[in-house]
Amino acid sequence: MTQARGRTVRPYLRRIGARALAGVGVLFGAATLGFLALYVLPGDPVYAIAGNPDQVSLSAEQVAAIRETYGFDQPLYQQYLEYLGQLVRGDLGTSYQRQQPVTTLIADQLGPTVQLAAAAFATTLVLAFAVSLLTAKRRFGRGVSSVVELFFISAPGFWVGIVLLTVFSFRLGWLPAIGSGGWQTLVLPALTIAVGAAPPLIQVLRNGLEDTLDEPFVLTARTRGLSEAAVRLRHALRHALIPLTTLTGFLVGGLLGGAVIAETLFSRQGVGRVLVTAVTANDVPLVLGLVLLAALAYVVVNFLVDVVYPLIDPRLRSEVTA
Amino acid sequence: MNAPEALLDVRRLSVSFGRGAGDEVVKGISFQVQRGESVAIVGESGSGKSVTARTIVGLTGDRSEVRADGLRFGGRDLLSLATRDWRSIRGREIGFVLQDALVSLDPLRTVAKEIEEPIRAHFGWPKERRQQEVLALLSSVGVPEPELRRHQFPHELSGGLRQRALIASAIAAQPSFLILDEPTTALDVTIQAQILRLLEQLRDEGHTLLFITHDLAVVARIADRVLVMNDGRIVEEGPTARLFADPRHDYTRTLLASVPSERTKGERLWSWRPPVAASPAPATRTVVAELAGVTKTFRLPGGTPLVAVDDLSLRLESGRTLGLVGESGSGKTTAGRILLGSTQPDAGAVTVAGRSWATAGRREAAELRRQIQVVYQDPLSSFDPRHTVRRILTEAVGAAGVDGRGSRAGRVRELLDQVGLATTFLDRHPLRLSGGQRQRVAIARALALEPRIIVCDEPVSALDVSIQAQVLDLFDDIQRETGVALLFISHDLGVIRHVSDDVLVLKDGRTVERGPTEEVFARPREPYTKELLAAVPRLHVSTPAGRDT
Repeated sequence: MTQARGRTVRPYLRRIGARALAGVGVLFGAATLGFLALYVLPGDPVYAIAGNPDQVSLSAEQVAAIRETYGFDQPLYQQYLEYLGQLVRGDLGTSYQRQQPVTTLIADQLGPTVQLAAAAFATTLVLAFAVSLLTAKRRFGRGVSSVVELFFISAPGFWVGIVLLTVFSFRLGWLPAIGSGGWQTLVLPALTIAVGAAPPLIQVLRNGLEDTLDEPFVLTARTRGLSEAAVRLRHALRHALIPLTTLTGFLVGGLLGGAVIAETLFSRQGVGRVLVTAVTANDVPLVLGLVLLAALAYVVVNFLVDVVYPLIDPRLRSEVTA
Repeated sequence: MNAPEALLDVRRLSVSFGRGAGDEVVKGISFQVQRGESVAIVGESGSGKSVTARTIVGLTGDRSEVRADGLRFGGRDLLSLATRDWRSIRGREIGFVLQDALVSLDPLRTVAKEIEEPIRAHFGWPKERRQQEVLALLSSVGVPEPELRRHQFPHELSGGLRQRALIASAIAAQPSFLILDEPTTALDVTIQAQILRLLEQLRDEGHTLLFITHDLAVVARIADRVLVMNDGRIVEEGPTARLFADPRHDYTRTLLASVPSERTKGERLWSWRPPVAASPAPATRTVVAELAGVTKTFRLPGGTPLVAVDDLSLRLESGRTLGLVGESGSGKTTAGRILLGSTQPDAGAVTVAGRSWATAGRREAAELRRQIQVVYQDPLSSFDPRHTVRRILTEAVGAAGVDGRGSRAGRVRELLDQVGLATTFLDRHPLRLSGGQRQRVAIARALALEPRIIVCDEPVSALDVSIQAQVLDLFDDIQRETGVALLFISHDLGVIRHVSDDVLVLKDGRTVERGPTEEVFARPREPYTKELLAAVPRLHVSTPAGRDT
């Protein structure tokens, strides 16, 4: 047994190591692409720093001084290398607009966004599990649910948010419309995000459940006298989770994108709003910092999924099926 | 017959899927099973036997309609049961064992979890007691080291242990009646024999058994009584010995006659049509392919080497069939792949049509590939599902160098005719063909290149006996007509004995025994061969009636 375990654990660790390395690669790629993309964009960073050219008039000397301070006079590759050097030291640079370190700016705003994302994530999963478990292989429930899912996939997030806002805070007055203190302020934004993120998960989960419910081992489980709920929860659900992992990237994207909309709409604090202002102000270091944050979130979540995956599916622990 | 009530009493049971009587799968069957009896339902796929079995536990399936004049079990009327009552019967009073434990046990759960599930569902036992019971069950079905095995997953167990674990889970809540749907079908012969012994043990312990199987030999060994099903009806019923010795219905006779074995050597299995005239036998035997001292070792992910084929030598001669027998993991498929040039051996020489894969250049290798073709167990995966039969065959004919639309179409027709398919199949997609028809298309595709050798890797293992019989007859015809050499890989000793001129027995990659088929089968020298042959369940039939007519 110990021998068997040693044989199965080592490839598992090796895989995880490889995944971690790949994650670092993704971060590096994101940093590079972000850097290039923002330098290709129109707009002189000098004015991003000093202010709108219509309102501020700078002398040639002043422009040159700013260029020199920020290193814009150097060739692109040198700026790039310097940027990477900073990254390795954990320095994301200084915001043009607010003249503060990007790390500080993000750190200050991260808390509310993490709260919102966590609440939205939990809501999404609860919705996805409940709806898929209840509607799989049930003709009527499936039909109704499919229409509703399709509707929410197509409905723009901000519109859903406005409807929720109108109904639950303006009309019914159950929940606060804006702000970021207390759990009550989380409900509507989290719901706005979850309603958009859940339908694709529901569809993948339900398809997974339906495929699994046709498997012989489910028939075996039924011949043992199990209830339908036990068959679905104990047997089918775990199998249905496997294809779900391919949607991780989509889910992370959905949560982050949703956060941007929800924070703006419900006037919440958070990195989503910071991002919106940074992009409009052409604040390159801040935008790059946020891009890296998103990439990091993606890499970490993917890594966690890779770690958990073999725990769901023991067949992956040993790749030999003799 | 009606005096003591039967344990299971089925009267005029009909099952249909979808609408209308035309979709009936089971057409008004009646039968009884007495307490302590062992009854088998025999039939081919689509005969309705599995549907019947599932209906007895109320799991016929989605969109099914069950009608019967009576369906009683242990004095209870099954037709009027509520869902909750069904659950109290399933597992507790009727145990159900499905085919192939690899897919019939939940692959994501340990064996112990699976076995204790019926106990959890029916008895409110505390955890320790359940665990004790799992250990006791595992030992009672003959699983060694139950302490260790119970923590393993189905894929970590051998086929035999897996099937035992599945049986353990079916008897866990102590049902007195067991339904076994093809309980030994996916197993190697020696394992099959062990499982049959276990089932005999269960029968002797007082379980009532209802078998569903297509394997007549299994039935002969274990059933007291046999029901033969064909197309939703029971066509014949009787005590096992009588039924095999004196089958009364035509279908039973044909079924018995199509089982390949020693008796059928050199004879037609299916039709009474005489075999096609052989092309004049060559005076000298020509060797068309050869493996000499071939060894292949694979490395498992942990680094442990696995010797798949060890110092194997064999020769294929034109117009003759070499049977390669062995259980799963014996290296037979690897041997076939080496001959086909898709696996490189570590040592030894491979010669096909006088040339070697190792030294062949690109063009030469392409030429070699035309000389040697392959037919697999499941041809479906080797067809593009979007292509029609016409396209599949036309491509093959094109690859054979036949030019011009007209001549290609002509050659495709010729091939279809050769494998006994009507031209109406040309526009069908492989998915819409039956298993036997697909295999015919695969054979036609192999023949398109006019190969000198065909490697047949378990080509009839997934087919029903009657279809298997027809495909085996087809191979025989083709060999007589074209003089192709066949390497016939199978785990089924009856099939091997029927088709092979010579036979080679493999175990763990090593050659155990080789020689002319009749010699090896009649007088096996090696203990392993003897064990293998002894494990084959036999039909106790002297000469089935109908064969001499």
